[in-house]
Amino acid sequence: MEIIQVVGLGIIATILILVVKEQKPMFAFLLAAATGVMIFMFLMGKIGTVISELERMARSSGVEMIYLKTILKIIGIAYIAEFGAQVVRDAGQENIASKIELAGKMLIMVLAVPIIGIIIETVLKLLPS
Amino acid sequence: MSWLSGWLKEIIMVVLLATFVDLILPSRSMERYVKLVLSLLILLTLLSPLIKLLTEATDLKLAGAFNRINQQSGAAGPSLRQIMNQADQMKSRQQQQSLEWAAKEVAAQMKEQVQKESGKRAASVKVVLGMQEGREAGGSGGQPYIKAVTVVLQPEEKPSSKQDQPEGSEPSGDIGIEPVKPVQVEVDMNEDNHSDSGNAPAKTAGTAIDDDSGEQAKAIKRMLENNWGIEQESIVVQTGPSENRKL
Repeated sequence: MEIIQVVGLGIIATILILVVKEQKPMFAFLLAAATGVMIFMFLMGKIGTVISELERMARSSGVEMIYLKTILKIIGIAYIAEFGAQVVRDAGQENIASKIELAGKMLIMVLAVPIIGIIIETVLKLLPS
Repeated sequence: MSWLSGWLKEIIMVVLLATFVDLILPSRSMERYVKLVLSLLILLTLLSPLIKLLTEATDLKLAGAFNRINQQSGAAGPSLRQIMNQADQMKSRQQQQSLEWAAKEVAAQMKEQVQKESGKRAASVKVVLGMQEGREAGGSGGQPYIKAVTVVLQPEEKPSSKQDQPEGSEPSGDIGIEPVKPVQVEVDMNEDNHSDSGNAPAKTAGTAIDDDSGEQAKAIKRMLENNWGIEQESIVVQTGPSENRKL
C-alpha cells in the first residue's frame, strides 16, 4: 500500500507547510520542494519496473530498440521538466517555470529531428530524380 | 509472410507505446510536442518496409543521428578525443623519460669506453638523443638515434693514480680532486632545438681543443664512431677547463 505512504507524506507535509507558512515562508517552500523530490524519487523506482517491462515487450515483438529509447527519452524529459517547473512555480516564479517547460519542449523537438530526416530522405528517394 | 507479421507487430507495439506514453504524460503542456514525436515514430514504423527497401540499416542511421546530437550537447563527460589527447600526452612524456634514461646510460657507457681506450679520464660525456623524424607521432615506431655527443676530458695535470678510481664513488678525503660532476643530459625532440644543439658544439669545438690533445680527440672520435656508429661531426671532444663543460 504505497499509495497510502505517498498520500500520508503529502498530507503531513501540507499540514506542516500550513503551520510554518505564517512565520517562515522560506521553510514552507523548502518543505514543499523536499516533499516533491521525495515523492518523485519514490516514483522513479516504480517507473523502472514499467520501463523494464516495456523493454521486454518491445524486444519480444521486434520493435527496433532505438524507437523505444526515443519514447523513453520523451517520457523522461517530460517528467523532469514538468517536475522542475512545478517546483519553481510553487516558489512563485512563473517566468522561470515557463522557461523550463520551454526547454523541455525544445529537447523533445530535438528528438524528432533525426526521425524527420530519415522520413524526408526516404520520400526524396521515392521521388524520381 | 514473416516480414508482414513482424511489421504488424511492430506497428501495434509502437501504437501501444504511444498510447501508454500519452497516458502517463505528467501534464498537458508538453502534449502537442510529445504527440508530434510519437506520431513521427509511428509514421516511421509504417514506412519501415519502404525504408528498408530503399536504404539500409535505418536503426543504425537513427542511432548515429541521436549520438551526434548527444555529442553536440556534450553532456556525456569527457569525449573520446579528449581521452585520446591525454593518452598521447602521457605517451610522449613517457617517451621523453625513456629517452633521457637511455641517454644517461649511453653517456655512462661512452665514458667508460673513453677511459678504457684512451687512458684519459673523461670528466663528462654528454649525449643528446633524438627521435627520428616523421615517425614521431607513432610513438613506439620511432627509432632513437644519437644526435650529438660531447666528451670533456680532464686536463693533463691530474694525478694519474686517480684514474683507476670508479667514477661514481666520490673521493672522500682527497682535497686536490674535485668530485665528479654530474653528467649533463638533455633530450631535445623539437626541431629548433635540433638546430640549436647542432650549432653549439661547432661553436665551442674550435676553441676548446688544444693542439696536443688533437690526436687524442681524433682517436676518441674514431673510437666512438666505430663503437656507436655516430658520425664524426656530431662528436665534440674538449679538453680541460670546467667552464666549457656546460654547454
